[in-house]
Amino acid sequence: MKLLAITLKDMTRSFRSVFALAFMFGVPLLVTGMFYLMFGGSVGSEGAAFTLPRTRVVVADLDEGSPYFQMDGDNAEDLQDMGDILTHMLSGPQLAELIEVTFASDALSARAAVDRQEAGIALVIPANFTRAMIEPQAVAEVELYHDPTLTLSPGIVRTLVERAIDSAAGPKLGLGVIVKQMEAAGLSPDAAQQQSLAMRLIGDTSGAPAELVTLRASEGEAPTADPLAAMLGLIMGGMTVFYAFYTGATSAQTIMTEQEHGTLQRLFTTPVTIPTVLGGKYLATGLTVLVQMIVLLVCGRLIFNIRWGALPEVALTILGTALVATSMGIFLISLLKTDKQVGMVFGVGLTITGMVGIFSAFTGGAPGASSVADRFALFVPQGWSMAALRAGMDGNGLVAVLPFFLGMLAWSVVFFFIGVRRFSKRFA
Amino acid sequence: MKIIDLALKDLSQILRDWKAAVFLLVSPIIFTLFFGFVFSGGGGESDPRLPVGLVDRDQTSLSAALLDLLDDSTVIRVEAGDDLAALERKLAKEDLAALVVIPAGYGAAMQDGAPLTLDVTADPASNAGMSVQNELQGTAQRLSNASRAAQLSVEVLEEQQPFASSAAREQAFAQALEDAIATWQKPPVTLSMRSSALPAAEGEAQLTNSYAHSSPGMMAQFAIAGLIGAAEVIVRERKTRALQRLLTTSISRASILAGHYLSMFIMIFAQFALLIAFGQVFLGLNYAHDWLATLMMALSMAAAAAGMGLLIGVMAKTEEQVIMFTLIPMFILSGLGGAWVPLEVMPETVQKVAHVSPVAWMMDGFQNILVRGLDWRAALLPAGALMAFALGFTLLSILRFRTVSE
Amino acid sequence: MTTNTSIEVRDLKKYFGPVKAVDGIDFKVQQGEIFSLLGPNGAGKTTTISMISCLLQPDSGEVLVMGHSTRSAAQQVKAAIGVVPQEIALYEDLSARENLTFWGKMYGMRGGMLKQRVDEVLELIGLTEHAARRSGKFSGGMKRRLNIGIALLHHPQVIIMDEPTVGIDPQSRRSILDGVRALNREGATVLYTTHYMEEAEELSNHIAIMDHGHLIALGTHAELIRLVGQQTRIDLTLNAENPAVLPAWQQVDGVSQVYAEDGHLSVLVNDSNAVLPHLFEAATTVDARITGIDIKEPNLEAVFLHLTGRALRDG
Repeated sequence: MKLLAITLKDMTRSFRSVFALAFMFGVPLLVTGMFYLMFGGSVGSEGAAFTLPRTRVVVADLDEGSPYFQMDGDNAEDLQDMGDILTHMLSGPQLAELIEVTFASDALSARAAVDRQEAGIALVIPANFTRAMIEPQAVAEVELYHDPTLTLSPGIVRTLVERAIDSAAGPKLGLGVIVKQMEAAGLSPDAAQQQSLAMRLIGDTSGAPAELVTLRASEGEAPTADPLAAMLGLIMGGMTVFYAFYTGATSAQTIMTEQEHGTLQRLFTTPVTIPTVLGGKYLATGLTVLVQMIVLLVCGRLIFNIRWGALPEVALTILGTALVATSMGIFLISLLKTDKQVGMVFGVGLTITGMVGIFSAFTGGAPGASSVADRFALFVPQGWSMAALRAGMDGNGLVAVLPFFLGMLAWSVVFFFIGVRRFSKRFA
Repeated sequence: MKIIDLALKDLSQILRDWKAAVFLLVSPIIFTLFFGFVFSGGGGESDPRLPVGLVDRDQTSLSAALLDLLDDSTVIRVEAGDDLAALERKLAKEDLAALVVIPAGYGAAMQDGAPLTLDVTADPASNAGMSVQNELQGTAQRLSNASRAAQLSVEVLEEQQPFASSAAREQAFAQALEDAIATWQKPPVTLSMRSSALPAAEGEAQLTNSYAHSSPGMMAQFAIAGLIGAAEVIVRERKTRALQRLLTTSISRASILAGHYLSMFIMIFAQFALLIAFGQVFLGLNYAHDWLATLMMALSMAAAAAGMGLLIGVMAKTEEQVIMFTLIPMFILSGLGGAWVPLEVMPETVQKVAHVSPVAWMMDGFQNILVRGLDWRAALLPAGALMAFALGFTLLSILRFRTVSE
Repeated sequence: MTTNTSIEVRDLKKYFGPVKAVDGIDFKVQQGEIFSLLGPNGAGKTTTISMISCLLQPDSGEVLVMGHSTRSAAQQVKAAIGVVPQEIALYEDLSARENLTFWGKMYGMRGGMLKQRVDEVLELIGLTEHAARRSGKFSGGMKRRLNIGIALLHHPQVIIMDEPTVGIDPQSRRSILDGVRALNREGATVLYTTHYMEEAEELSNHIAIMDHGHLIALGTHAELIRLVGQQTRIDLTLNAENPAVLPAWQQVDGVSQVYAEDGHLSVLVNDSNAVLPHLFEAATTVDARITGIDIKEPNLEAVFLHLTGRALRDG
């Protein structure tokens, strides 16, 4: 009963502390909210895939066209040559979300705009662009000049331009192949024949290219998953884990502050045993972490529409995290001799291990990064907690969460025994 | 002189805890390496391309041609196999970024001009998944075009003179396809990519040096983290009534503030100096190509961060508040300022808002130096903005400190 | 041990490295009395109290509280005592009532009994009206009172108070001293440490004087006074330092002892009226001019001075 009284007292105190509340609930929600703003601000009404950033592209279209090239149809007046078609495509409404096109009169001023950081990418379409597309021997080079700090958008624009070149050059290339085959067979097609072949090829390749790939979600991933919610889930999950361990240590730190304020010594003048005091603290810390995680996960569900997975998996993760966060808190605090060293515990012990442990939350999308981050993460207890949470979110079932839960249990046991031993020695 | 005495006293208090000092140097280095390593897609694999599992259920010349084309991809690396289940397991373990199945009948359908779709399994929400999808779409399009050209050439030949046998027809198609694919590999219009970086930055392949982002980013974040110790000194001075005692001496309030400011400025600048040296020597970052620019950025960010530390010190009433007032802005300003993730990948609105964070200005300045290879003139604007932050924080501190009596 | 002994301390020793904090002390506290441990700061009072309240293990010797050894029956000892620590030890973010309720539970109290007792203690320490306020917002005196109140909750047979009046205003101090006497009247045994001899004089049945870890005197107030004989102390101030004056006074009839400390000169005499004129005469012979006189009837201060050659306050 005394143990419960200590637990109750500790919990009352931590929930009264503005500081503790700010770290328990304020910061994790704040950071997730920040990411929501960073990535989610432009999410459409359907909550579709989060958009890639918009890049400013300055185009210098120097294409002089070709006497052999003629457009017909509605747009004939605007579109004089292949360069026009390319710029038309780039500044079209479908790509408006992705790129913002402006024009420059020559290559120099286009590059200068990038140098002045007014645009991210300069696209220089050469004078012989159209000719290269249709005249047999002509070749041309399109220049893509970009700001070196950009990592994604040059690749995107490159893909767009390459695809356009591919389809525009298709008839010429196809014709080349056919003519070569005919010549090999001893035939020599005349100009009229070539013209008609070219028309057949153009007829084939005109129009929107067909979708040649169907993408389905990996096994276990909910097909209707909201990608923003999925990303926020990782961030929020990471924050929850990170700050659960923070809470573990701050709550355990009350042992130090009680010692500093003399209440711990006073406790030991009452008929209470050391294990009771430590047990009460442990329980208070564990329950506080439990409350914190439940509140945060519920908030994540309600505010950000994050799906944490099935209840048993989530419950197991919360339980395991509460255990290991508490034990790690007791362990870390047991290493301290004075209140002055607390900064070390929060700095090194928690911030560094925490960031390593939840790193996968931030690299979820980075190519090749996640598996590395995941392997690193398992060197720290936060990583196990994060892994359990993610296994639950992926819907991989209780069996997938269990190993991580057991891992957390193992960490807990080790931390608990070292921590309690050190404290018992200190106070005996 | 009193200001310097006070600053020296502060510094000795802050650095007395040598472990904290080590923390302020070691943790940014660890995170610089870690962020850099992770975002460079490291992991000991020399091939940076995304690993993609592939099962060929078609086994025709066209599916083989697709594999050939994919072999040349700069985006994905194909790991072909027959055991779908085994590949699926690898996908689940995230050893593969995606799994592609070429369906049976793929070649025949393509020859008929109604190509089947490739069946790709990947995380649609991830960049990797989208990259793989794009690359496959482009490659399949090429193959489809080539196939169409080969098909047409066979038809044209047939119109002139029917093939002796279906085998001969097949033979002609295969030959035409091979030619077509080779032709598509050499399009008449090529695309050259060139970065605007000046030669100064290009020396050590800065373009691919992912530390060029993480090094200044973590420097900024941990400059703010380091304010905890320094601001605590101010709070403790007030709590222990040493401040009141100081005020009974001939030192003015302004000098007291200036002394605290100086100590923080020195501490942060020293932190920057060591971290910049580390980046220069061990990470292959070219901070040195224009020392003046680097110095301007380090000085101005140190000035801004010290101003922030001063404000935290005079605002906070307890050590706990110091931690709160430091760590919360640290997360917000670093995250928003692009210290973790480049601003480039954030939406436009955020990119605009980002510059309310001094970290964004610091990132701008160092990106100009490290990645764009620009000189001191490119550091003027960001350094100026940081000095404005320094001034603003300091003014707020003075206003607040005037009313602080205990 | 006789049945009416509350605390018995036998050859108690505690060393911290080279520092002999407590170096072999013996005393007994009878049931129902107020027993003061008097001594300057650093004399070993708090170390002694800590061993009696089971916070420190003695290096050697033994402490029995209500017949229980602190070594073998710490829980029984703790149940029998209520400790008022020197530093205020309470939870500032909890209210007065919450603090009392929590500590009551620590002493094993529950339910209605606890609630009733908390009300009684709040009344006793005069905090009933402030029961719901967080104790962190209390004045220094209120915190002191709550600090004491916590130790009274479980009707302890022995109340141990470690310098409870340090650093508080005279009014609060008065109310604490009155409170201690009231508790004693209700039957509690009180072990009280202080370095204010007035408190010891006013409160105690028995007084033990500690210095440098040793017990240098023990007895009732009257017994201790008798140690210095019924002598009166005269403190004299000169206009200027004059080393010749001490030997001159030593020669005066009726002077038993002369001390010089911190510029104050003290003379122990049997009859101040008879000796005083002669002190002036003697001073004149060595060209010393007396500018101030303070006559002190025998008290514990004099006892301490007599035993150690130092004033109590100076530690």
